Order: sequence, then C-alpha cells, then structure tokens
Amino acid sequence: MIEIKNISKSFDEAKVLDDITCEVKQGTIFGIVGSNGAGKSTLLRVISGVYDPEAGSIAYNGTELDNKLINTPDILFLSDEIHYEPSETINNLSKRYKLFYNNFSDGKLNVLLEMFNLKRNTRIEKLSKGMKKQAVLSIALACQPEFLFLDETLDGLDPIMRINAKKMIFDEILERQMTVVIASHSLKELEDMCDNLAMLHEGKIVVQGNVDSLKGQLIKIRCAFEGSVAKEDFKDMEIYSIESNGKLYTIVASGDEEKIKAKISGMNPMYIEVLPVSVEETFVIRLQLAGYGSHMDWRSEK
Amino acid sequence: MKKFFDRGIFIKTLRELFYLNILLVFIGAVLVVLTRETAVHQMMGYAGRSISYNFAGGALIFVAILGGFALSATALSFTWNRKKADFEYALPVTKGALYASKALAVISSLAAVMAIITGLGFALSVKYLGRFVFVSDMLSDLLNSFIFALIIVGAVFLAASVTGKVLSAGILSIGIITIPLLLPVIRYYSMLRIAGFDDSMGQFILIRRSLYLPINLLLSQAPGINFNRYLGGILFSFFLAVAYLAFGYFLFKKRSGDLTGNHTNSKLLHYIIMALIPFAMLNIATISALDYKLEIIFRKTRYIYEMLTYIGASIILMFAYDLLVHRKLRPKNRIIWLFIPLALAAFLLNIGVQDLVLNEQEKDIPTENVKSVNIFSYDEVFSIVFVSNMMPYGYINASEVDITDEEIITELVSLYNERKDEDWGNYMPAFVKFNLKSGRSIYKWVFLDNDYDYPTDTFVGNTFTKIQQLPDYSEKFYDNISPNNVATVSNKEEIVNAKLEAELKEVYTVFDSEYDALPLEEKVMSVDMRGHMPTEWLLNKREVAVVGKLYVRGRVSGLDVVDTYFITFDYTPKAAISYMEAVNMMNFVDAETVIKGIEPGAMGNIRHLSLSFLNTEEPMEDAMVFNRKDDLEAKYFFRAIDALRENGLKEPKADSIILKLQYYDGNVGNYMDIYISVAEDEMNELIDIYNEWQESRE
Repeated sequence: MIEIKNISKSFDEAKVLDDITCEVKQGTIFGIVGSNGAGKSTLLRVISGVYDPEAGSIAYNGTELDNKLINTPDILFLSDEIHYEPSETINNLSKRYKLFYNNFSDGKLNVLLEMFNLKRNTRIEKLSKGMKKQAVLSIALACQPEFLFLDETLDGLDPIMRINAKKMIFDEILERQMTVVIASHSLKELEDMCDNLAMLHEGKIVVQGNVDSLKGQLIKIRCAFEGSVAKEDFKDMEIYSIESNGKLYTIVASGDEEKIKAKISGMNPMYIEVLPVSVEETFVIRLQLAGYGSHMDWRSEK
Repeated sequence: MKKFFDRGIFIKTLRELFYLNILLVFIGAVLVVLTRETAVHQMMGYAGRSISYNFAGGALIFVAILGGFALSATALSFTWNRKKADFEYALPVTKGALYASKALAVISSLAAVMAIITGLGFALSVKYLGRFVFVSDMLSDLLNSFIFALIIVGAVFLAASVTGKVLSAGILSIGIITIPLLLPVIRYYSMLRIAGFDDSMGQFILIRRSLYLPINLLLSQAPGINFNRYLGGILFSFFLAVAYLAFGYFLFKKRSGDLTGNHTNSKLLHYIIMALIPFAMLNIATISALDYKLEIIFRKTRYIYEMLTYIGASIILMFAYDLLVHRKLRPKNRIIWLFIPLALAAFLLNIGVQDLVLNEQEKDIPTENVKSVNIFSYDEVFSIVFVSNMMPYGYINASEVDITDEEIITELVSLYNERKDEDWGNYMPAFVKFNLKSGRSIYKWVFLDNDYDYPTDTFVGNTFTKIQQLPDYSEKFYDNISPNNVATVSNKEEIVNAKLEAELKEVYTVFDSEYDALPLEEKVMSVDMRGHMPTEWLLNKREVAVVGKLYVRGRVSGLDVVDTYFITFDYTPKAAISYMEAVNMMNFVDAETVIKGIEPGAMGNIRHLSLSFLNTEEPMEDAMVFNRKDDLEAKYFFRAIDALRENGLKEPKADSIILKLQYYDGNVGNYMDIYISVAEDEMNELIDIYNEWQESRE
C-alpha cells in the first residue's frame, strides 16, 4: 500500500503539487488524470523518489520513503520519455533493468514481447513511438516489481495493443498483487482499468475516489418544458449545468436521483429522461468547477 | 538493499564506461609510443631531469586529467539529463549507494586504464633500457597520477552533487581543483608578512613542491622516485580527494532529481561558480607570475600585460558563460560580481609585483652588502653541473647552508654582476640566494661562462668545487640517505651503500671477469671505467653505455628512500659508434657529423674540444684543449678539427692510438664524448697543432 500524505512540491516560484493526500491499496490500479501541467508526472516522480517533496510523506507498506536515503521499495517507474542508448536493443535494455530487479523473468519477457510481436534484438531507436512503449512496458512487467508507476505509457497505443497491454497489467495484478499507479491526460485510457482515480488540477486533487462511486456522483437529466424555465426555478437543487436547446433542457446535478427527478417532475415537464453520466463527464465537470476552462461559465449559461 | 554499494549500479556504470576506457588506453598507448624518444633522452639523463621520469609518466598525467573528467562526466550524465535521471533516481537503490557505486566504478576504471598504460610504459622502458628501470619508479608515478585523477573525480562528483548542468558542473569542478592552488600562495604571502622573514622565492618553490600534488605534476616533473620529497603533497592530495568524494556523498544524498537540467538550486552557489572562473585563471596566473622571478630578466610590463590579459579573459569568459547559459548578457548584474575577481586580481598582483619590484631594485649586488649565500638550483641545472660528481639533487638540502666564505661570495657576486643575458648556449645558469646584511634576501640566477668557469675534465667550475668542499655543505648535500643506513657516501667517485654492498660485489665480479676477456683496445678504452661503478645495465648492454645511474636505497624518517646518483661511463670504440647511433635517434648529431661538420657556421655552437690519448704509455687526459674563444684560438681549433676530419672514423687496430674527443654542443646543450682511433703520425700532427697554439699564446 502507498500512503501519500500532504505532499507539496514547487519549482522556483510555481507550486506544482499542493498538499496532495491519497492512498493506493495493494493490488489495485490507481489512475491520475489531469490537464497538461496539472502535476501528474511530478507526482509520479515524487512518489518514485526521483524528486524529493518539500513537505509531506510517502510510505510504502508502512515504511517511509525517506528521500531514498536508507530504504527504497521495489519500485519501477516508466517516465513518458524512456531513456535508451542510441544502439541499444530491447535485449540490452532488459539486461540493464535485470541488474536492479531480482525477480526479472526472461520467460515472461519472451511471452510479453511475443504478444506485441517484438523481437529482443531489435534496436529501440528503430521502433515507432508506440512500439517503444510496448517494449519498455514488456520489460517493466518482466521485472515484476511490487510497485509499477506508468507515466502516459498506454497513451498512443493502438486499440488492440492497448487491450493487450491492459491484459498484461491485469494478469500481473492477479498473479502477484502488483500495485500500479498510472497517469494520463486521457480519462478514456484509464476509466475502464482503474480501481481508483484522482483528478489533479493546478497541483491539487480536485476529485478522487472509486471509479464506480464517481460515476454515481452526478445525475444527468434531459427534459422538455412547455414554457420557458428560469434559473431560479432550480434554486433548491444542486445544479452544475443547464443546457437548453429550444424547449429541451439538459441538466447536470448532484444528489439523490429520485429526489431530483421528483422535483423536476413537479415543474410539469413535457418529457423527462435520466441519462447515464460517464466518468469523463464527471471529471470534466469537476475540472470546470475547479476553474479549468473557466471562460465557459456553465452554471450561468442559458 | 544495501546502503552504500549496489552491484547493479557498479556493473551498469562499468559497462557504460567500457568504450571510453578502451579509448583512454588507446590514447595512453599512443602517447607512450610517441614520447618514447623523449623518455629515452630523459632516462639517459644526459640533459638532466633524469630522475623520476618513465615512459608512461606523461601519458599517465594526460590520461589522469582526460579520464578523470570524461569518465566522471559519463557516469554522472544523469545529473544533467532528465531522461536518465528518471531512470537512475527511480531505481530501487539508495542515493548513497547510487553515488558511491558510480564513484567506485569510475575509480576502478581509471585504475585499470592507468595500470595498463603503466605496464606498457614499463615494457617499453625494459625494451629500451633493460634492467635500468625500476618497478618502484613506475609504481610511484602510477600512484601519483592516480591520486591526481582521484582529485579530479572527487571534484566532478562534488560539483555534480550541487549542479544540474554539465557546464556548471565543469566550471565548479575546475574551481574546486584550482582552489587548493591558492594555499601555497597564501602560505607564502603570510610568511612574507611575518616580521623578519623575507625568504620568498626559495620557500615558495619548496612549499609548492610539497603541498599540493597537481602543482607538482603540472608545474614540475612527476615525483617518481623522489617519493619521500613529495610524500606531503601526495598525502595531502589523497586526503583532499577523499574529502571531495565524501563531501559530494553527503551533498548528493540531499540532491533531488529536479535539480537535473538546472544550473544550481542556490543563487549563492551560482555566484560562487561565476566567481570561480576568473579566480581559477588568476590563480594559475599568479603562480606563473611568481615563477617569473626565476628568470634572468624580469620584464615588468610583460608581467602586467599578462595579468591584464588574464583578467580580460576572465571577464570575457564570464560573459560567454552568460551568453551560453542564460542566452543573454547581464552587464549590470555582472559588474557587481566582477568586484570579486578584480579584488582578487589586485590582491594577487600585489603579491607578485611587490616582490618582483623589490627584487628588481638591485640590479647589481654590492659585495660588501652580502652576508652569506645559499646555492639553489632549478630542475636540471645542477644535475648537469654535478654530473661528474654524482650528486645531482643534494642541493635541495644543501641550500639551507649559509655560505659565508668571502672568496666564494665575491666570485658569485661578480658572476651575477657580469651576467650576460643573451647567448644561453655558452653559459650555464645556477640559482643563488644572496643574504644581505640588511636582513633581506634576494634570489638571482648567476651565469657561469663555460669557457672559463669549467675545467673541461669535470665541467664543474672552481667556485662550485670550493662550495662542495665546505664541510657543512657537503654534509647537507648527502643528507638524503640516512647515515645509519649508508656506510659511506663521498663525492670522490665512490658510493657504497651497505644494503647494496653484496649486490655490488657480485656486479664487480661479473664485470671483472668480462673485462679480463676484452681485447686489448677495448680494455684500454675501459681503463677509466675501473674508477666508476659498473651497473648491471652496462654489463648487459655494454655497447650503448652512456651515463649510468646508481640507485642508493636507505631510510629517512622511517620511510624507504631511493635516490639516484649519476655515474659517467666511458666507451669502447664500438660503444662510441653505437652510442652516436643511439643518440642520433634522439636528434643528436651523429659521429660523422661531429667530425665532418665542425666548421664555422655549420656547428657554430661547439665551443671547445678536448682531446685525450688514452692508450699511450701514460694516458694523457686533457692533454690538449682547444677553445673557440676568439679568432686566434679558433684558428687552432679548426685546424685540429680539420686534422680529425681527414682521418674520420676508423676501426681501431691493435696499434691504433685511441683518442677521446670531448666537445660541448650548445645547440643541444650537451657534452659529448666520442672515441676515434688515429695513427701515430696523425696524433703527432695534432700534437704539433696544439704545441703551435700554445706557443702562440705565450
């Protein structure tokens, strides 16, 4: 388990991480999403020991990371830009990792590379961006670390390879309770694979929680009214946005679904329908509420 | 997880350094081969500087500098490369182990590279010089160069622990290496300020040689077998290197990966790095300025211009740094920080100029103002002067002896006052400290006229012969070897060391048996070898006997000491030719050129010629000395040469008269002996010329 408590980090004057607290349970996948510059990569670097935090603490299975002075957990961090030597082959790169990860399995690497249709003696610089990611992910999984941190590793993979990659990760989790923290700016990449998600915005966690519970946090209702409806008519409801298209309104609100539905029904709509809310929509709304893209005032619109 | 060492990091770093190591070995090997002729020259010792040089010496210093920087920079590339930092910092390795394992890998690589180069140098030395080479010399040079490399490694590791760009790390590490150079300057300066202490330059030389190893290596010869003399510097350097590495270790543990790609995380440190650029340059400039005092002519304007150039270069470097690093000039900001280097420059100029100006005030030294003198030397000067007396380096201790003999003082003062600044070829310099009655001391070069001050048989002037005969001076001169361990040491061509006695007896026995087996003419030619100490090398390679070295071992202050003494060997006729062939390889003149080319203009620097007939009934050493002092003498000088030229080199026959021809060649600064055989009538012709000349003089 990873316990991240009140982590802060600044670069020069800019605060990149601001009092981040979250928890990653053993054998789960924790997703970090956020806009560009939100602090996702920095957070990964801090928890993997590349950067020292200014404040706060990180504990692995109850043992503090202590700036990697005395102990370091069995971490493997794949940054978004992988370092490899100009003439390095997949095999050479795997040997480099093998030096540091005692559980490295050549057999597993062979299987994984086969799944991606890659060969050990291929020079890494010859591979496409997506194939490089497949190669290093294979090596990382062959290392069998206890904690795997992936920074946008699955971004850019084609759909089939992405399914393969996810399967590989799931297998590792099932097999040996590996803990994965994965960062991406694309919620779609993570929505279907993470147990827990945290959304970062300007160095702060805007929202975090179990993916299923996050989905239920917001309700989207589409309804149509005979006459015009004023904003004040919804004042006793916790409304996040109202979109209107003629007589048709789309309302996003939070709270108990039945109660909200009952209230709107009390306003005599011509038509009312509850729509599913995706995690992405939930996050986008949360982000907007946190000020990202604030030029669009969703609350006051229409 | 290990706290201080990680095998994975160690192996990974070794792999990264592998090709660089190969390149370093290649460069070292090329240097060893390219410099072998110089090494032969140095080892033979004819031009002095013979002690403490080996075939790998120069290559080792070069590889220490190049390898120290290149290997460290490669191992630490993750401190300025973000991609690498993501990999290295995230590994399941503690920061301490990351640092220590990388340092160990770099040090191991350097040790291996330098050991291979030393081995190659040793192999070449053996090839050229046979058993004349001592393993202890090689190991001593290896150790010194290696410790120097350690300092560089320590400095780079320390610099990389607080910076995140290669340029910043480079500048800071050069500054860190250079800072200790200031120590002897400060010590020297503070000594000057102590009331009554005015012993400046001589102390500076000694301090410089004993304090900081890079100075020894860069500004002097590699220590080599003078290990004991440099032990202070070696230990200081070693502890300095360890301190750099240890300090870097503690700083690295606090280093966060986000420093990578940034110059430093401290504004103060940034300014320190900035100030170090001019500082380092001025520091070196000051030391070179102090060395100016060793020159016969001090040109104040030249010195000031040079210092100004250094300051100018420092300022340009600062702005170049700004342009490269910050992509803009920041003159206002820099003006503030220029005060530091300028203040330093003023301080250092004060040190340099003050003494130089003071020293220059006395162009002529009044004899009556001189209380005593000390004889110093500088590098090879005295090793030539004392070559025939087998005491090349004793002057360091003997320089402490105050010589109050009025005759000697008068002679040295007049030698200085009559100095000739030009025509180096015909003068031999010696470094003398004049202690004035006022309490001040001044250091001057005095130049000894080769034509007048040296009897041609010994090359040692009367003045120096007198000096050597002073009991205090003589005692100090032989102080290197503890009297407890050395039976006797004298300047009468005999050195007996208790530890080597049995060994020498054996050598003598072999020599004697071989000597008995020699044909007559060779035996005759070897007659004056009997007075010298034969070496194993001579026995093995009799044909190329030149100048021998005898190593005397002893103990001083509890430490093993090896010192070197020169012994001259004369040649067999074959050896003379072989020798000339050997030296020809080193751009000396060959025998034929000597004989045929000695004429006005062709060998204009040959100043005197001494002819000795060795196998006449009574060997007549120095029977005839021809000098080229003036036209009258030159006339006979060239007549003698002509007579020799006609005869040329001949294979000696049983009835040949063996003639020893000794000359001084100003072009290469060496004395040379060659042997030729002449028939009796030819010898008579030469004697006639000589007699005619002597008569004309009368």
